[in-house]
Amino acid sequence: MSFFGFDPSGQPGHRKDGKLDLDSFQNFDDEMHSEEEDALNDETFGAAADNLSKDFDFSSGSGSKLSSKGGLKPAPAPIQPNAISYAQAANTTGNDSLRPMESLWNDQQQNSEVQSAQSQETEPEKKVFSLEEIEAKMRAQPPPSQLPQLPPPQQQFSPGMNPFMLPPQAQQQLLASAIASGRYPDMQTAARAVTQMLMAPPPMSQQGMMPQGMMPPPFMGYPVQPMGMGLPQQGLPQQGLPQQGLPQQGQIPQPIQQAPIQPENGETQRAQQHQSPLQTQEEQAAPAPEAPSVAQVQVSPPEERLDLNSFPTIEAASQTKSADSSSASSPRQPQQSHQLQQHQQGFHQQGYRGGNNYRGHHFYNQQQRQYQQRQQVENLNPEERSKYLARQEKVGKITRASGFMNPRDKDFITRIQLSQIVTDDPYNEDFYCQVYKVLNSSVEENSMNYLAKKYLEQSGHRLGGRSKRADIALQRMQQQVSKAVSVAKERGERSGVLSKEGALGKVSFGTGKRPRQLLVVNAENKENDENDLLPKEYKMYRSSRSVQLSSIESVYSEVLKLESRERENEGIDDSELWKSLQVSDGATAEDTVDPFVALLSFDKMMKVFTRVFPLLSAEHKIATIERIFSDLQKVDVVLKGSYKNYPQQNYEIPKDVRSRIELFQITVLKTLVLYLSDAPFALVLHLLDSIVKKNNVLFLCTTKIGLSLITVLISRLELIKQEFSKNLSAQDLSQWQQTYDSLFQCLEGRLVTVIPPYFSKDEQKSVKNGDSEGDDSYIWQFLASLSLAGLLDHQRIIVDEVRDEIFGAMAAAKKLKTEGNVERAEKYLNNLNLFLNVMGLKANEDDITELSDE
Amino acid sequence: MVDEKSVSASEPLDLIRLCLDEQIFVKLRGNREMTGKLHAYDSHCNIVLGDATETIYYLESGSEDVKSRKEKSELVFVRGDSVMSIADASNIGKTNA
Repeated sequence: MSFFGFDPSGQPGHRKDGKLDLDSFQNFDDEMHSEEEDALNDETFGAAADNLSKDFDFSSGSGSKLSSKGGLKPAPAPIQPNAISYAQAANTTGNDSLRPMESLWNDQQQNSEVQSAQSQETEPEKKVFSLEEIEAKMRAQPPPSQLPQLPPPQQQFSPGMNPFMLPPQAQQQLLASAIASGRYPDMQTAARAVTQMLMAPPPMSQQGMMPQGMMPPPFMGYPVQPMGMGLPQQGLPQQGLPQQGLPQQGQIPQPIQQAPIQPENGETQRAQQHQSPLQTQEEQAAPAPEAPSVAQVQVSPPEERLDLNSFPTIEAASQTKSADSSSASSPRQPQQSHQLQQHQQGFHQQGYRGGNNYRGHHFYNQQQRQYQQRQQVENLNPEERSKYLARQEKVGKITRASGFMNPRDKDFITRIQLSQIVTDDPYNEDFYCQVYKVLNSSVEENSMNYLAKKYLEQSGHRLGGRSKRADIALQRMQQQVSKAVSVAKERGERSGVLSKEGALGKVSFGTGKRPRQLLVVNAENKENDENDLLPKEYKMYRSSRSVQLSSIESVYSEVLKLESRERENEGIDDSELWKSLQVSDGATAEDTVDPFVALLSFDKMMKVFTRVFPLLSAEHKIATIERIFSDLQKVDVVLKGSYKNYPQQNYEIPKDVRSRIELFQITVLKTLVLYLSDAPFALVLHLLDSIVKKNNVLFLCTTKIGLSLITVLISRLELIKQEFSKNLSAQDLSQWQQTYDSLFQCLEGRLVTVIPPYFSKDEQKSVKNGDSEGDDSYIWQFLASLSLAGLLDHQRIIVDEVRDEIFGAMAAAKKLKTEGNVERAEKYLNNLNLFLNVMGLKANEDDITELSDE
Repeated sequence: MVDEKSVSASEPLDLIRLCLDEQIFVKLRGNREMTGKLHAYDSHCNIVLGDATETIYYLESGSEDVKSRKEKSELVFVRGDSVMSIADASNIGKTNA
């Protein structure tokens, strides 16, 4: 399993068809997995997190792979550097290094023949063994019998010098050279790549040669196989190996080849020298963990011969790492490779400890497959072969960078990706999506499940390929989602910025909803300083537009906060909201209008009022209404809503004002009326009282809103009075009478002013304008409620005052009827009758009669 | 959800937030201006305007006078990458009207 659908540990190219297209990679991947016991998503979803030692194994098990091949490797540095003929080295390498790598194994085969011939020349009396054979022999012998050989050599070790101390040094060296090669962007990448290299076998170099039986001990790891991908890269000339890689390839095997020519081991193993390498391989691949350690033990004797000088110092390392392939540095190559191998041996042991049997088995299978495949390749004709190579090249390119991330890295990435799409507060951050979901899905799955599924679908994680694993993948993803959600919750500060006081830096993280914030304005101390430090000219007055606008925004914020609490059935505390409304602040000397009333002049404040009001506590509701009523004439829509303001415009109320009056009616007024319709008598009376006492009633009555509001209050009072009179105290009733009287007094003699000229049917004052066709029923409703609450005397006065309007309306209705506009005529009469019915009268276009129960 | 502090202009976009549901004046690339009621905006300055009037300034070949024509739309989405500036229309004054 890898992020790109490839298994870096896989050995591609085992397919018989030899065809290459990218689609087949999918299948290839599948095949790989079918052989691995690992769950498809284990690595992606972090099953391996519990096994640290495994995590360390970047190339997923290549450690054990290596160890299973431990026996195949040359004994680490059974070399005496001085014994190497540099001339020979130079000769052989000079030719090979420039050859296309395509023909690598053939060449090497020849090469090694040459070399072994040479070594036979130099030491003719000794039988030449391939390292593998030697090691196979060693392996074949029971460990105990081998052990006694150890002590003497160890004495030759200089103090503090043992094979196990070398790895870090070797590693460093490798790392340095890797970086020097310029292939890795940074230290870390290089380190990883090197680690991988060390742990991944270069299978081609080994297996490609083994069948021939002429085993030039393959050089493990770095220079030959810079990528360490376990891919047959040498076969590809264009693989993009750094230049130094090529010559080294030629050079390195050479010195190592001297290894077999050890007197001690050589003799003991002569008998079995003809053992087939394949057999050896199989024998060695299958066995359990002891094998590598045995190999290690076996290997140690030759090392002892090295004197201290043969171990590279740091300088030597740096020279080598310069990757200079000139012959000057070639003498050092043996050392390097020697170290490398030692290092690898160390790794084998580690890898093996963490490994398990099935892996060994798995790699055994793989090797066998590779071997077969190799044989196949050799049987191919040139055309097929080039095809095959092209395919390998592509595979190599694609898998070049795979395996760099371990399961935890992948986990981490997944979580980051998920954290961009999850939120702990879906209603506020994802409101429309939530609503959409509610509207569109009858059967809504649990949201975690849903999200996980979606993510898997979108991110190209295949569930179908290995259907039995689909549920597991889903489960894992769900865990990730819930993790991400909890992380999102813990993130806490909604600003997305974590800043500790006194710290120099700030940690800021972005999400999809809240991009990373670059400017962090420190807002903490602002409130304290604001009043003291700001120069006077920068102080904003509460009545300034921007302050009002920002007050409204804070109201909105509070409303959203409270509504979200309400949805979650948490308790509602309206104190913050109450503060933001500024109802109780009252007007100051600076501003003429109460701040809350001033806010009501904004459309958005009217709109939010319907949401604010239900959130307020009972006493706050009353206080709010009281505030509105006592300052009613200062409310913008009332102030501008009187026809008397616009004598020049034919008393026509401007369009924008009219639309805002309508808005006020359907928002604020509607909310208030709804509340008043349940309000007790005393409260309504109190409110009416505050309107009448604190406002210019005559002015209010020239506005639609003022008139409607008074109508509502009066009729509510009258309704309660008539239906529940028993429950009312005498005091309330007398109070009501007083209030009514004072209201009536304000209007007496000027009652016609409630009728705007454009609605008037009185010939003398009637004016035609755009509003004339509007609905004037609210006026008749007012007159009706006024007469309803009044005594007979009041009614008589009212009728007297609006007599001209009454007859005007009748005449207008008659005229309309003769014109054929019956509908409109009826409307006039109906509105008129609203008023007349209260007094037991009824009008038609000709006459007014007493209302009778027909 | 935004807390109260951010309302008091803790970030630049808060200034735009204050103009929500208000008439705004938007200067756009391509010699265009727009006025309308701000219905919505986002962090990219994508904005949705209601009852918007777009004024397009152009030069006719041969003449040096800048001419303009107006286009009205009931509801319009303005992509943020063309927005140069956004201002409260009431602050701009009536000069553009």
